[in-house]
Amino acid sequence: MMDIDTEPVAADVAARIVTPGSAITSDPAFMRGHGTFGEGATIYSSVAGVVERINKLVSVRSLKQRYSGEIGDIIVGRITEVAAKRWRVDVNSRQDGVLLLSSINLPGGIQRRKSESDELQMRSFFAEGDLVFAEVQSYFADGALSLHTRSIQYGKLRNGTFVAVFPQLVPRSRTHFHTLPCGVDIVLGVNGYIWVSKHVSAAKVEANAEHIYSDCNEPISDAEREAIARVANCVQLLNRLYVKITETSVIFAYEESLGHAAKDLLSQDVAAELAHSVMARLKQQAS
Amino acid sequence: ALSSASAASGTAFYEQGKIRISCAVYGPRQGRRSNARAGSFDCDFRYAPFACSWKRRSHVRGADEKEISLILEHAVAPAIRLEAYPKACIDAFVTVIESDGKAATIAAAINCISAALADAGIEMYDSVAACSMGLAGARWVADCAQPEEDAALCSMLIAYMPGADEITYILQHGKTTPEQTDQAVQTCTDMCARVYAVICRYLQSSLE
Repeated sequence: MMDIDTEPVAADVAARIVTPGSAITSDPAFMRGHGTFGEGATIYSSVAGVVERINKLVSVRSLKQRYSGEIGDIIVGRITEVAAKRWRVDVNSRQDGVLLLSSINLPGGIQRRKSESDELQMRSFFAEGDLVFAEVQSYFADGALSLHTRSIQYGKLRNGTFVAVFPQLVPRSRTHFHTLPCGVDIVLGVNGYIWVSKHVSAAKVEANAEHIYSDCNEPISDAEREAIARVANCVQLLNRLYVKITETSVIFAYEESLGHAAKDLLSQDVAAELAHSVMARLKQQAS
Repeated sequence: ALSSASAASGTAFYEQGKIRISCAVYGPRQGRRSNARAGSFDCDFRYAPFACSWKRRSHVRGADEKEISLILEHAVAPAIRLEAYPKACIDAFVTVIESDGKAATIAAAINCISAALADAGIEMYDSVAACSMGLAGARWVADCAQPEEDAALCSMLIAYMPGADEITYILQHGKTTPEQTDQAVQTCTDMCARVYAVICRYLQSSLE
């Protein structure tokens, strides 16, 4: 909040807890933001939450918010429908995202032109239920997200397990694909969808350019499965106790969890104990 | 009651006397009608088989449950800012765990859905509060139990938005004189305002 604003009404507007339908202010100087609606000259709150004021913009932030995509977001989505020259992707938002056939990399390594036969065999690329790692390119006119996978690191996800968390726990950062020291790859989608998988080196991925849409998993050993399960449970317990999910917090949680069996991590007392030690380590690291 | 382990966008559990209802709200998510200008609100109401103490219900949804689902949709949908959610749908699933008096159960269900929608962060013009009354002789009795409701001459249910001062739904079974109707509307709206205050207090305390 800017201290330069010295309007007397500013003090009673910000940081109030409001319920739907409560009047916030009638001052015409303020503009309405998210979570509000106007009737006549008065701004009312439309959700239950905390009033936030930034200069002249008044908005209400609720505890739970649906993920709303921004251009450049890295997300994980699940294909729900195969339509003409596009796929509809569940991205944990108000509407399904759209992945156009012209926005994916066609197999073969070298850039080749889209042919008619590609259009007829779209399920050989992505079928219903597949998980895709993509980036938000733009919006359609109705607000649906348009995704693209035009990079070697994006595409179909394999060899692992899926965890859904609250979107507000995944902060936006430079990279969303991390290789953890325990030998597990993790993809932190900003929309709250997370993929934990066996580590496959980048060189191997590039060598397999023909098979980027293959549905076959690599062979995964028991030790790797245990590590993947342990990391997935760590992410779940961080979610349950509202800890931000970043590469650092997942590594800390993994290290703290080694004293327990992987299957015991989600019981209430173990989860609470681990989450508190993770938060303590994060605070220590920040200071 | 907040549940972080649930897949629902918002949940609420409402208790009123012997009535216990839980509601889960999913959405806003992709709607079925892809050319819609505004969002759609659908409600699924069902009794648990053990909900009514006087008889065991079938687990198959009956005609009265379908009718109550429509009543809940009509009572709550006007309060939601559906034009803010084009092409999306909001689904509310109401389960009655224990029931006592049909009109009182419907009123409690409306209150429960309001709390669950606010928990899910769905934009609304105002929370909807509802209450029901039965006419016993010359007096209106609020929130009738099942035997009282069976004996009443008339039963009335009113869903009201106190902040906007608008009634969203009136359901009446039986005959009344105009004076009795006026009296009922007045008393119901007063009681709705009190229920609304309880819901708001609960929402505020859950945010602190």
